[in-house]
Amino acid sequence: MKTIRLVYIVLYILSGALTGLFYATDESYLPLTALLIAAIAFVLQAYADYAPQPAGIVHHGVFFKSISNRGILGWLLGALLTGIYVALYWFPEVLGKSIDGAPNKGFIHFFDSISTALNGHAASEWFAYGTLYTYLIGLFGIRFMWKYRAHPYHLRRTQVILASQFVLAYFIPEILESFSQGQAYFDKDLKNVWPLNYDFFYSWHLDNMQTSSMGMFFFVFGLAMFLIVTPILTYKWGKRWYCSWVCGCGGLAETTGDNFRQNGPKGLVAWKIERWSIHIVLVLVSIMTAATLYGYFTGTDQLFGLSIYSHFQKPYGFVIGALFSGIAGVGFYPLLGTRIWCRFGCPMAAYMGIIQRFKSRFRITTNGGQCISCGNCTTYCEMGIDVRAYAQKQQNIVRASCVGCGVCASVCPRGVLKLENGPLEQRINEPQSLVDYIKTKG
Amino acid sequence: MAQAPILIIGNGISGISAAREIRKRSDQRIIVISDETPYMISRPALMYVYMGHMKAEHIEPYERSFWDKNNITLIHDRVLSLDTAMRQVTLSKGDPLTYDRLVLATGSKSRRLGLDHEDVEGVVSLYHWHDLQKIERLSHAFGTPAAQHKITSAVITGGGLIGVELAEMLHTRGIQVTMIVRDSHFWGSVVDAHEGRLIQKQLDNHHIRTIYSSSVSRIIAQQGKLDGVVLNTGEELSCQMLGVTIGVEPNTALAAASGIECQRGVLVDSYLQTSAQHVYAIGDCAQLRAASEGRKTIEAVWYAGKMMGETVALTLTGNAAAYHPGIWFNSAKFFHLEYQTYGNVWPQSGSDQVHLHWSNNTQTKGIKLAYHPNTMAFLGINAWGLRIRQDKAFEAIRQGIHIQQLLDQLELFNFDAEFTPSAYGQMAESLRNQIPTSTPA
Ligand SMILES: Cc1cc2nc3c(=O)[nH]c(=O)nc-3n(C[C@H](O)[C@H](O)[C@H](O)COP(=O)(O)OP(=O)(O)OC[C@H]3O[C@@H](n4cnc5c(N)ncnc54)[C@H](O)[C@@H]3O)c2cc1C
Ligand code: SF4
Ligand code: SF4
Repeated sequence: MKTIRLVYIVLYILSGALTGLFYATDESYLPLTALLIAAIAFVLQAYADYAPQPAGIVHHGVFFKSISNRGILGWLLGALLTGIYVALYWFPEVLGKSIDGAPNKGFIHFFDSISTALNGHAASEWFAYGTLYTYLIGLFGIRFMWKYRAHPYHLRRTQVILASQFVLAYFIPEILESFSQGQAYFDKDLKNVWPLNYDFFYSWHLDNMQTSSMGMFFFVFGLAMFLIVTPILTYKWGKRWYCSWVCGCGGLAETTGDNFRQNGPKGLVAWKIERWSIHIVLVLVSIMTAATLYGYFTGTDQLFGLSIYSHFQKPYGFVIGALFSGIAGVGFYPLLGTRIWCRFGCPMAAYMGIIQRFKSRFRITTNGGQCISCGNCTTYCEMGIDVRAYAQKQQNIVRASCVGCGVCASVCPRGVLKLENGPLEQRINEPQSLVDYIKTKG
Repeated sequence: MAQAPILIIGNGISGISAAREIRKRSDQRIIVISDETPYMISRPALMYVYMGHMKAEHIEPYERSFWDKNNITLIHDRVLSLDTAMRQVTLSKGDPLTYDRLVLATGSKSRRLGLDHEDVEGVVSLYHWHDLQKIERLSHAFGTPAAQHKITSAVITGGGLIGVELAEMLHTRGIQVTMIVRDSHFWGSVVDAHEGRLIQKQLDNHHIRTIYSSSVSRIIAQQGKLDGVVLNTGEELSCQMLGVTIGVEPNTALAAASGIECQRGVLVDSYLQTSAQHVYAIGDCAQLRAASEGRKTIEAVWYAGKMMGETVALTLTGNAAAYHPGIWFNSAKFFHLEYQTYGNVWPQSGSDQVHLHWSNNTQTKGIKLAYHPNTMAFLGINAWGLRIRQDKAFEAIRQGIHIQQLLDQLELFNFDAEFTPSAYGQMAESLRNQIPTSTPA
């Protein structure tokens, strides 16, 4: 292990040196090379960290470490992430975005050669961001597959997260983009569904989709995802099919954010706030979209004398799209856990949550009376669900917010919890005393 | 004058289960007194605090707002004496309290070796919150480099659950642990040598040293500090910490001093009433005058405490209910190895039960089935590294289904996480081959 540790440290330094060399020489092959070498180093590090330990999740020291226990390192990382997001959304020139046609500089320039290879033009700030995002999901995904290697559910789930991020969110859109040079832009991420993808119904987006048959395909597919696919899959498997298997936001939370899953606010107050806020966002996105469609079909840009752009779309994009889902959503990972957006804001999660709560085959079954109220499940639930409160009352867990990550079940030391799909009867059961349980079963 | 309250001494699982169930059925005042922590904690979760998996507040099973909301008064104090005639208790800090009915839920205390120097710094046990604090105080911080360790080696005596938990805890601080086990394999009072090997495998994987068929006969201390131990074999081990985890015994001090009839535990009838009127005892501290079938008179486990608490609550709210624990079940975890048991599975087979065994090649999963040699009725199961559906196991035990039939439908027991490769096919096959072909009718 000592040699491996030495090797990856050397590789990290090499990667850093190549990055420096790139900024000195501008050789176009250097950024990708540096990224790949850092990736190898990262994977070796994951190996060195986890391979010597027997398989099985261990959370040793999570609440002793500054980074994972909202210590000084956690706050610093939170500030750094928040800063990066603020720059990305509002001050991209800080990151080196070209101004008035000048070439990119700095951070964004690093991604120019990769962007050119994939889609034929220099990197935008969003290309740089998307590449880094996908890269991180890839690296941390591999790392956490080591951590979770004793748990096939997590392996399968993480593999699907990686596949959907790399293929659906990254390569397919970039490659399709390179084929449609000069054509009107529309979002080509098949899994990015309205209402999460709130500008799907924006006039420019609807118009652009109608300029090509590929666009029409994306239009029909997008509608079908919302109206047909989502309800059916959520009925069958719960919202987990999306939130912890496919979604990009969820993908980052499950991989890169895994170290912070325990930091989500817990308790009844947080639950109350969450129910209000997430449904308010669902209402807001619906109103905003209704206004948008009204404008689109009637050809006006006003509703009740209010500008649709500056009274509906712009505030939603600013407050919800940028501030909430981006800056707070990821920036506050180390402080408020990884699912801030998914819990408190995501309208897609709200929509699926309603289905999951009232009409789905999914539930977390509580195994009889085996719970010892230890609290591991509640502590490591990234959605802040008090899983124990149900388990210790011999009650199944059926909650709108549960993303089905399965971590509660994995960390339970008494084998109490199992995520499963089954008949609707008996899915939701009343709390029961252990004596009553034994009376009927034992 | 307002009605006197129901007083519960002990805020562990039994006392709190009683309080909760009483509150569901009655408005009478409830006061819970405990000297350990102000709010209930999950005792089996103590280890996770030391290992940094959780903070102290995470092992409180109820949110702090719960108690006020349910009008349950908590007093953090020690009960010094009990007068059953006056229906009064005295407290260490607060004023004496009068009760209408009293529930003793005082739990257990750790058994001691009874050796010289057992009180020196460095000798620890693991039961109460303050035991954990003491272990923490003696230990170096998590992640301390080896050269600065306060404790380099520890000896743990006792080959049971709490001993293994303590070993796992100390292991996370990089402390070399040696376990001294009286029997020839782990947890000899409950499991057999096949199963002991699965536990052994976990200890080996985590570099825990084990010495079997031995016990600690002498503690070596110098100037009030632990130096090492001497085993009954004469072997001498140096260590800076000695964990004494040789079991627990009911904490009867308060009851015994007040004249309530005690044996090993506080004696109670099937309604959990003690020899004193208006006084009940539940949980670890209670000893049933008569155990129900297949059960023991003292069961120091979480579930028994929970059920006793819920049962006494019925009696105290006017629906006199006898204690019926039903079919035995329990669970534990040895490092990464989960254990679940349902029904009566004795360590060794005999005239009333025989066993079938299966384990996988890597010794990470195993199963032991008990059935009656004459009727072939299924009696119980020990599962290792496999999660078993309690409903289904109980149903099969209650019906006493034929062992052959059980093997045909064993997969129904499977409670493992989705996508876990099922071992049940291979398991049933191997178990079937162990059933003698010519069985007595
Ligand atoms: C490390 C450990 C791990 C365990 N793991 C498991 C497990 O996995 N599964 C399982 O089934 N069981 C397990 N057990 C056993 C289980 O925890 C006990 O059976 C259970 O906690 C007993 O609950 P109780 O309510 O009877 O007593 P306790 O939880 O002991 O509560 C009694 C309380 O009363 C207080 N008290 C006593 N006397 C007084 C007084 N005079 N004045 C004020 N307060 C007083 C005590 O300080 C204590 O807080 C474990 C035990 C330990 C120590
Ligand atoms: S309840 Fe369990 S499966 Fe659901 S989100 Fe929380 S930890 Fe994940
Ligand atoms: S982790 Fe398991 S045993 Fe612990 S509180 Fe949750 S369900 Fe109960």
